[in-house]
Amino acid sequence: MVTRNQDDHALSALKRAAQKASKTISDQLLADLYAIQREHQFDVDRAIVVEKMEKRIVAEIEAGNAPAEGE
Amino acid sequence: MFLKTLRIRNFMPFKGWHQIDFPGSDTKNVVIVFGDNMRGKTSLLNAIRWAFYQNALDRYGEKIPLQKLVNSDAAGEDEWDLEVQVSFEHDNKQYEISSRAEKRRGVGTPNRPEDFVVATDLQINGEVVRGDRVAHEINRVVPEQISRFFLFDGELLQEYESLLADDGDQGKRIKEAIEQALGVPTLISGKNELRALRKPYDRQWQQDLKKNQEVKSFMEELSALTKRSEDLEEAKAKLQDQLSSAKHQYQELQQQVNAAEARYKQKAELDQYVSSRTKVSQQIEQIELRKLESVRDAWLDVLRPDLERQTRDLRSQAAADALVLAEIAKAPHLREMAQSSLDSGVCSLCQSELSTESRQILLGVHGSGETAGEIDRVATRFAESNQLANRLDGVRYPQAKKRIAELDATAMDLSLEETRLASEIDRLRDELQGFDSDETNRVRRAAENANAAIRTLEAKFSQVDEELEKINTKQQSLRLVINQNESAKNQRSGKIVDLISTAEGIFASAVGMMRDDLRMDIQEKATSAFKQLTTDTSYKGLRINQNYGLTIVDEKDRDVSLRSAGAEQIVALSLIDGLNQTGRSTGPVIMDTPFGRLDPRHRSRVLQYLPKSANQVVLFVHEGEVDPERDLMQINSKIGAVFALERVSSSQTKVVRK
Repeated sequence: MVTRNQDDHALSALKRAAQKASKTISDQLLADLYAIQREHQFDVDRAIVVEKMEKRIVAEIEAGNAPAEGE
Repeated sequence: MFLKTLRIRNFMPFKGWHQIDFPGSDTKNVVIVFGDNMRGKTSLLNAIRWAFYQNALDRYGEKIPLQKLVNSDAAGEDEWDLEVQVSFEHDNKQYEISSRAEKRRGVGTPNRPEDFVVATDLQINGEVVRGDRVAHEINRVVPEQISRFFLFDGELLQEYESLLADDGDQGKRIKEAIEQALGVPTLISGKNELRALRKPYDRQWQQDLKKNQEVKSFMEELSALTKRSEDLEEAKAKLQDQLSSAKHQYQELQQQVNAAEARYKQKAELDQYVSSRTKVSQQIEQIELRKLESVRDAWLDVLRPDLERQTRDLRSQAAADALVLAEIAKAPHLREMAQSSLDSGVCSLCQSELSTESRQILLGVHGSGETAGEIDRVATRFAESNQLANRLDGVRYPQAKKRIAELDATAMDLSLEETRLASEIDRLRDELQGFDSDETNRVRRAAENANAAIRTLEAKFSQVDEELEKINTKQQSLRLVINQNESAKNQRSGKIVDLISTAEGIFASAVGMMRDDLRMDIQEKATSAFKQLTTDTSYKGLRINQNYGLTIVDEKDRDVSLRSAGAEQIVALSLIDGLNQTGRSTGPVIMDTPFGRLDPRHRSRVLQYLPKSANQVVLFVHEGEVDPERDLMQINSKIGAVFALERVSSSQTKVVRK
């Protein structure tokens, strides 16, 4: 009963919101950030979630992928 | 997910072990469990819920205390432990859940949940899952937030009506539950946690750019906004605490109000029982009077054989007398003939001359006129015999023995009923001891005040949130301006803030988009279900509002504002189906008393639709809502198993496969 429909809706909404944003970031980064949230959606201790997101964002900057100007 | 077995021990009315095996067929995917009221249908639903989440709910949606889940007979034997085991298959893996509660060592009679030790074990494909991962694994497969849509009590379906109102606590709670089930909080917490993550980098960036004169004024403005934002966040946290505490207080008061309402119902029930007992007592008194009346006339029954014999004798005597009288009735004609023959000397019949012997005989006949006194005596006796026999026939024998036996049997039944009522009255009086309606009113007012306080706090919370959003937008604009500066742009902290801020904005916009998508998806799926469930083909479908409430739309695209209790139930079932289809890929649907308010045609449609709507359907019903013969015939090919909950005693039920 994993809620795959929920993931479809969430990822589709993130993708469309990214297209409308003033700056663009990679779909992969958004998908990874969502996956972190999804993995820990029932966890009460949120510090680990923030930490994982931070690591992923810092890695993105280290890889030279800063947000690009939108169209 | 596909349920395979449910095993329960000492859970509510189920003393000892009881088991339900769910057939593993995809085509015969419906399991029906019949049970009268009070036999334990809702308890079975609660057993499944308890196995998964260690949570059982009453009719008000409140948690049932653990000590009340233990079978009362088992508890009476000091067996204060219960267990529920559920096995199911999911993604080709075998899951075995076993949840147990047992009395804590040193506790005498448990009277609070803390008096128990509760443990849940989980095995996946025979491998034991580590204790701290059990809840996570269960929630991954069957999230508790979704449970209200696949484990539901049909009698609570009407609560979905509250979604149609724009505000109101119940609707708000259900809306939150719906959004939780559909995953909206995942994006909301993504946005919030990105914001929390941005703050230290924001401060770092502002620190890094302190000496950059070109962006100094913007940075100062940004710092001021950051300061204001931090103050507001602090205020928001305080409001959040106050709100949590107010909600907690409200919840406690509401529980007391619910309990008081339940006690009002008990009070009405008590009055009803007292009135019934008075009636039964009066009936018993009347029966005693009728018994006395029967005894008073019982002597007639004693004399009955003699009287009946006497009647028979009188009838015989009367019959004999009647023959004599008939013979005598012929006498005047014979006398005339004899006189005529004697006068003429010739026989009147044969015209021959009379012999001496014939003359003597005729003189004898003629002389019978002398017995007239005897005739009167016979006639009188005949009349008296008949009269007396008729009177005796008219006697109504009371059959006192039979009558008294019948009255005794009725009195025994009434006496048992009187005892039952007396025991119910005692029980209710015990439970109602200390019930104070003034106190109840005070609690109700306190709950209303707490609710008003929550609304005020929520309004303040929204104001703060709104201001924070405005500040956030301003900050983003300022960052864009500041980032025009090459030096600022190349700061590492600035790049991180920029990336987090962009992701945060995307998550924030995605929340609204996801909500809109979900609403449309639910509307479409609920409409599809509704069209198969409703018997009114003129309806176009359902329209969803911001709260996920559904309104029927007619053929002219107008909202149908009035709807019957049955229509409400059909709409609620359509919503549940829409939410199930939207919120999860597949899984069982377990419904308790879902047909309560449906007419036979709607019931038939729901029964035919359910097997198609889920991969497994388990229905807990009573025979008043589903006829075991007529209704089940329609889905005979889909029924995998039928069980019955049979009464063992007032506190025990057993599960029997049919």
